[in-house]
Amino acid sequence: MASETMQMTGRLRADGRSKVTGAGRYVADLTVAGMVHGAFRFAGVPHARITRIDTTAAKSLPGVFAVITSTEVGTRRHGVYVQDRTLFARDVVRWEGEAIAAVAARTPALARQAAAMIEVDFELLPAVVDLEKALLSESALVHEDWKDYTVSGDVVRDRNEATRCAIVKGDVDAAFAVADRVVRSRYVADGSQPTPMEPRAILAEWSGREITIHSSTQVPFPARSHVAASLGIPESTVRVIVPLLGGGFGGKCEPHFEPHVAALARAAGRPVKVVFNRQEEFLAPDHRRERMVLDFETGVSSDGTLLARRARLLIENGAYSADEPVSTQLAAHFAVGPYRVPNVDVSSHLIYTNTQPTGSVRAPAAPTVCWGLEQHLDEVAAAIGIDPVEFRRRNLVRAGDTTATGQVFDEIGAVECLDRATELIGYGRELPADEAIGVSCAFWPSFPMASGAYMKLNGDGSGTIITGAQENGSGSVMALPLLAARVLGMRAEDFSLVYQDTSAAPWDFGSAGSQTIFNNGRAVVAAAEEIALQLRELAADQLEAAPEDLELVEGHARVKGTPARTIAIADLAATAQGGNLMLGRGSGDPAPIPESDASGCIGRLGAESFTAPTFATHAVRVKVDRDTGVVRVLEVAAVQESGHILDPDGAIGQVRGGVLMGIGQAISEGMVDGADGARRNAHLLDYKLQTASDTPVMHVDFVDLPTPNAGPFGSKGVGEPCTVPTPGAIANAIAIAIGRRVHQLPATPERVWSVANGVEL
Amino acid sequence: MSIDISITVNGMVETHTVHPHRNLVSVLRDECGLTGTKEGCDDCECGACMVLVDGSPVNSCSYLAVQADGKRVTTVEGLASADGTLSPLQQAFLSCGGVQCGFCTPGMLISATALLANSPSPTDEEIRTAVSGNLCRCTGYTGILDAIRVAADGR
Amino acid sequence: MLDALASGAVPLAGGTDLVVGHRQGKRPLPDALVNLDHVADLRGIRLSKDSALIIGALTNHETIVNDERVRARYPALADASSIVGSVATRATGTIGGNVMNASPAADTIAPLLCHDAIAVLRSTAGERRIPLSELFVGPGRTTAVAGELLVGIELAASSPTTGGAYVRLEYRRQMEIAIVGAAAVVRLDAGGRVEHARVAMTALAPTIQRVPAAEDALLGTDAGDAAARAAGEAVAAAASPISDVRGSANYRRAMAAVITRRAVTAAAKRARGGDVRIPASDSTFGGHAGNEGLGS
Repeated sequence: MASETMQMTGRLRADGRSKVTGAGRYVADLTVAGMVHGAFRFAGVPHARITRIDTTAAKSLPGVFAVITSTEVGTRRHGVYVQDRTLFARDVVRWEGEAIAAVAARTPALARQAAAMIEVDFELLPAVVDLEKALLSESALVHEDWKDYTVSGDVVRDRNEATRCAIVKGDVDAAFAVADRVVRSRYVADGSQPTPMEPRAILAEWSGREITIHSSTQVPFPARSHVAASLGIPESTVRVIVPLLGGGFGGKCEPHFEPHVAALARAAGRPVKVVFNRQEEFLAPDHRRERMVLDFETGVSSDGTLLARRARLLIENGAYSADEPVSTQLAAHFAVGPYRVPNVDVSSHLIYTNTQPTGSVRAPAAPTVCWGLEQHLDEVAAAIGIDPVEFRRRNLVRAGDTTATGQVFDEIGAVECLDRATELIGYGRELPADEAIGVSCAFWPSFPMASGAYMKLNGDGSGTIITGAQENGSGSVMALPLLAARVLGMRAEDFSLVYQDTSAAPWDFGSAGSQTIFNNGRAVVAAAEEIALQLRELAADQLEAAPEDLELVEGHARVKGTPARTIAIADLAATAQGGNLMLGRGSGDPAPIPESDASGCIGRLGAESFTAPTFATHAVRVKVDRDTGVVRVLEVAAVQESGHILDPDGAIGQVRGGVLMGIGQAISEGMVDGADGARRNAHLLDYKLQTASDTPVMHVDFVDLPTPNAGPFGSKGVGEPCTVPTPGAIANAIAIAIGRRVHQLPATPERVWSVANGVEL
Repeated sequence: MSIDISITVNGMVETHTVHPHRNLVSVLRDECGLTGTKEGCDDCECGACMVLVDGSPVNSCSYLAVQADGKRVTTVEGLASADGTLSPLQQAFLSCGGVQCGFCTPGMLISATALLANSPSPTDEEIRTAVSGNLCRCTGYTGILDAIRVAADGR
Repeated sequence: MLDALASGAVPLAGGTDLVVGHRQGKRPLPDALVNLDHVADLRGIRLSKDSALIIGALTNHETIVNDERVRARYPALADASSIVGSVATRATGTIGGNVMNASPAADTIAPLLCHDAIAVLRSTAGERRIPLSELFVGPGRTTAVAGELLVGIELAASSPTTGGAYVRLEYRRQMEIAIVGAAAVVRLDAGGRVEHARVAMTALAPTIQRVPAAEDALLGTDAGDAAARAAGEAVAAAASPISDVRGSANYRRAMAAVITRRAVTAAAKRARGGDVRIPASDSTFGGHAGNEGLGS
């Protein structure tokens, strides 16, 4: 019997009470005096030249206050890596959800009615949809003027190829020549959606030259910068506040519609609120998972040693480049995987299409590439007759191993994750004929960045953390008091939080890249250490001891080794209020980026090595109804090495949610785009999230490994790696259950049935 | 055309004059000021707008306000006692990891409240079914299901 | 109320279809709506003198599922009502609404057809009774004329040796819409042979309809595996499925055979007194087997 897994502690979240009572406010819940409502006019066609826009009728509708288009806001191009887009389309629309105009009106219904009354004439252009055809020289171009665009960083472009990345090491052809087996596979993946339960909402209110924007964004500080740049106003005049945020999963990363609504409010001369409906949430944001075509070729020796990997990844960019170029570089690493592969020749290609832009969604690019690679590895293991778990164990990376880009790993727990997950699922046990267990491994980097926090120790002995970090629901900001408490010898519940207001707190990147505790946690610890210093100095006066001889324990400062000489922190705080206030500020040095040899890389956008890499193995048991192709996921063991786990409640919650999101991607969540680029399932009835009846038994555990050169107390990121291995593990389980392999993602009942029964679709 | 309706919302009689096409959620949110009830879709798929009408769970986005005339409506704001004490379900949602972003939480709590009112000792399958009309993207549902079990068992 | 309908108003029962259609922009709500909610005599289930089961049009799915007479004698209907939408849909949605919405994917219609249901329509001109099979013309269209209100459904008396089942293809365990569905009702003679058979298919044609060839394939058989397969093949042959985002026509046709076979098998088992839990779909797809417990 396996030993007990990590358990929740039952700690209550600081924002919990407001969420279970309905008292908490999300952006859509906010109303300010004089507020009117906004709505967008979207293209509705995937690729077309705009020949005429006439807003006369819409503007003349009673109750309409403003209609804006590119004429009002200009055509300044923006984009993180490739500046290829404008706020509103002027000459060409490149996906059906592209914004053409926005309307402010008395009611939401009136705004939508007016938006529909804007007359737009199109000259339809051929839609570029197929990833392989887009690369052909005769393909239509998504961006005729691609050569004129400004780029940031090492973006390698050519026509419909928005960027290209490569990792080359050793000599793959020579290794293939001596390999006992060379196995080739191709996998084709549909795109999928982040689908936060809260559709996005933005409320913009001007006060003279200053603007306050309440937005459901994961990244308030980048949103502030984007508004300032787009509208040509100083950043200091822009304040972004996020009330409660109803999930993001990457879909609310990167600034989105804040500048549009700000411009609309300026034109209307009053506050404007825009609330997306579910269909708009599916079609208009520029963040969702990519379609991919994945080709893998692996040379292996008969003893199960990996010798070489060649891979070519075609990745859908969609109509514009969001943050997808760097995900394309990450994808190249995922084509190698967390394995020792001495010879590597991998390229990843980001391809423009007339579809919704892709961009980071929870571990961008990773689950899909991992889904392909981990199935390919099962095929390689089968080719040489080795058990797939044993095959992975022989090849997984260990401390001291060198990656394809020359990074040498510190202490890591990849093998321990595999061992523990297979133990928890009971790998190898007898199962009914229609059930099988599949296994998949993954790795994912942490992202070192600047971040800041302030801390106050109040006169009543409580603390206040003022942080730039953004809580998306995962609980990472809610866990910051744990860190402060650890430094100051206080209780987590002694601290309150001020957060999600760009005017109150120092800069932070936002809730993205599993970076909140990794970076902002470091800032909070640094701020708390300043307070600790102040507490020890004040206590030293009162206890007549040297500050360095004092420790902060259980709400008291006391002399080490002499517990009787003690003073309550609350008393010290009260004293400070009569004189020199106790204030801390923290930022701290981000974790160092590991050295690497990038000589074999092209398309270098900063992901040449993996800082504080995390590892995970998922083992899943599925049941397959062969006659219908319906797959039920019955049981999942998910084990992760994210360094030292600081907050079991948050970490376990993240893994459970990540696993279920991965199950959705594996079997039920596929975007269906027609050959014309038009979405056919932009609603929850046919874009199927898993339900409470579908969620499997989950065994969640962690390999707790305090890691040097990582986040606070040896921690690493948690929220993203937990969704990476799930689709691959499920695909492998299905393949074992039916004796054949489904090469498409998701494994819909129809696809599974077709493969299981050898029926051409 | 407008119609006068009278609804008892969380124990308080509310009278409003509404267009017959107006849905219940918009009256609750915009007229009653009860924004705890959320809108996450427009086709009864997500359950964020769930309220109780005469004790039965209803997707208030797809229920006309006039249909609620003369009935008792309970929203998430009506689940705690008057003195602010959380219901056992609300408490369990917090202690079992049933709350992350919180957007599905009001609807989940309403569905779970209806379940325990009708079936104080539900089977695990009944618990799952009761909240299957409520989508959650954060928790994997595990903490939510655990919470309902804990509240049902009076732990 | 009937006067209002006669002047063009549209009846509103639970609203779970009408209001959703309105919100999605598929069809606006009519200006004149008659809220049926307060018409108490349209709600409830009772037996007629000659043991027919009369279901008021405003009876919700939850009531149908929990009715012991339905569960025992008309389990195919209980199967269907127990998987319509979510718990909330089943508490609000009515059988009358489900029937009159006339969706090709409506879950309750195939079981009703298999029980030779009579639709009772009332207007200011009086009441008329028509076989349910004569009600449907096309997706969303019925033979009810303006001003007519469906007030009830009558199901013929059902004997203890009659068994029925409704099975639906379910991608998820809950919250599904019929992509393919089939209902079967069989009555066995003393020798265990099928002496009466009804098979109807859901989401496989513009209207939900019985498949006489499948019924013929069952008559005189033991309703065993071979007969169930033959019925399934007959339904697949009779189906005219579409290809859409939910599935291709080829897949739907293949599933028509599989789902019909399962419905017949479950119906026959029930006819023999065997236990097939409600909803039958659940057990034929593995149900919750294997994910017992709550997941942690």
